[in-house]
Amino acid sequence: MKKLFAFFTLILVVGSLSAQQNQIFFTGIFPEVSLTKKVNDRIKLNFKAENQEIIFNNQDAQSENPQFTHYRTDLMMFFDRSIRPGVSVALGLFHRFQENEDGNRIIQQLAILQRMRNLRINHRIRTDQTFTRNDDLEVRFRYRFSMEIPLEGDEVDPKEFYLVLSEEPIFRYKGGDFEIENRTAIALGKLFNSQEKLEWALDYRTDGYIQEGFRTRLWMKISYYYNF
Amino acid sequence: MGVDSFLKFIVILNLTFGIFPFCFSQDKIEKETRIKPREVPSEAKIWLQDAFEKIEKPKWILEYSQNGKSFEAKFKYQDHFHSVEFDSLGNIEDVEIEIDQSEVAGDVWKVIQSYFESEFEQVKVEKIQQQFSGAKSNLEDFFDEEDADGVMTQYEIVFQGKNVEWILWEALFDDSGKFISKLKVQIRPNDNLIF
Repeated sequence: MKKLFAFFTLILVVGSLSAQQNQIFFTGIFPEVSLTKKVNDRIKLNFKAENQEIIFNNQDAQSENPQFTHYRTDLMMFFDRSIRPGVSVALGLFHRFQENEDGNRIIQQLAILQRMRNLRINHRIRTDQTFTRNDDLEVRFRYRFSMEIPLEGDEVDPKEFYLVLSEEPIFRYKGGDFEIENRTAIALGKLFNSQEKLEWALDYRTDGYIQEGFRTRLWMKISYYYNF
Repeated sequence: MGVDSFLKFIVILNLTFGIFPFCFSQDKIEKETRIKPREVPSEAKIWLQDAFEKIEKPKWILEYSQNGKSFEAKFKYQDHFHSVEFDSLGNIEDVEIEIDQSEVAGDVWKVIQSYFESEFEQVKVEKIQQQFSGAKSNLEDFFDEEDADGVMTQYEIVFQGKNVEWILWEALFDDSGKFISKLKVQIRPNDNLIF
């Protein structure tokens, strides 16, 4: 476990250092609120709002940094239906506020949760289509592997801390071009009670592997989750 | 527009669901904490050593629940996961051993299976635990001398059962495989992993 933790930290640190030298790099804060309404044993509705604000951008003049520039605000809603304990399919609608034209997206998702003796592993497979006025349709395929590790005892109980490590490659096709993005994140979470939790995360994103302009983004994320 | 619209969204959510005043409200506390062997009553350590002579470093857990404080030792012994529970003074309460379906006696499994067949269209067994409870000395004799007098055996089985929908259950069966009780298992919210 310690080795895995060290590996993730290394990826984040090395990645962000190398990125700061000559490629596009920006970093900022990323608050997020997620509300999940359990309609019945099978159906859940999720509402989520995310906001990304840039604090430092290596493409801007030194005098402009640090800054507080709005990058994106995303609102989304998912309809999730359980098909077996720990396995569910979901359909999502998404709206993005950003500079120039706002974007709209539809999302299809399959999630599989593995409950093990002392950790939980989740596999999330998504496809999505993004529609932006005056721009080409963007289609993506993404797979997220995440691992939730209790830090006190074998299970995460109220008032206890946990870690979430996640890794997500994203394959994107837009206007005839293919692109790959990668997201690695490490989060420290605290379960306050059966309904609420808070996570503090470092979310490291890289893209531009195939097309020009390799880019890295490092977000300091804070996420609030509420189930009702 | 972005920051304003985000703040507006938060205000609307708050008005719609009235959630934020309730943030971080309290639940009943059930807490498990990993502890060092020196924090465990010696009574419990001695019982464990007498009953299972060759175990190496069990993992000790201190549990707080509605029923009070208790101690649990978790370890692997003869290729099986064991969990031994003691009360707050270190007196043995029960022993649970995780086993494979093939290790349940054939005639017992037949009775369990006939329950599954009568209640569900399909069943997928996730975990079987054999539970042993009884007086301290009886339990000790059972584990070091295989003397079963005064020891009650039950099977706790976690399974997915399908009728209209798949549901996760935890059921208790007696030593002959006869069904005793069952309760629905709720999976702790995984909204942080799936959305």
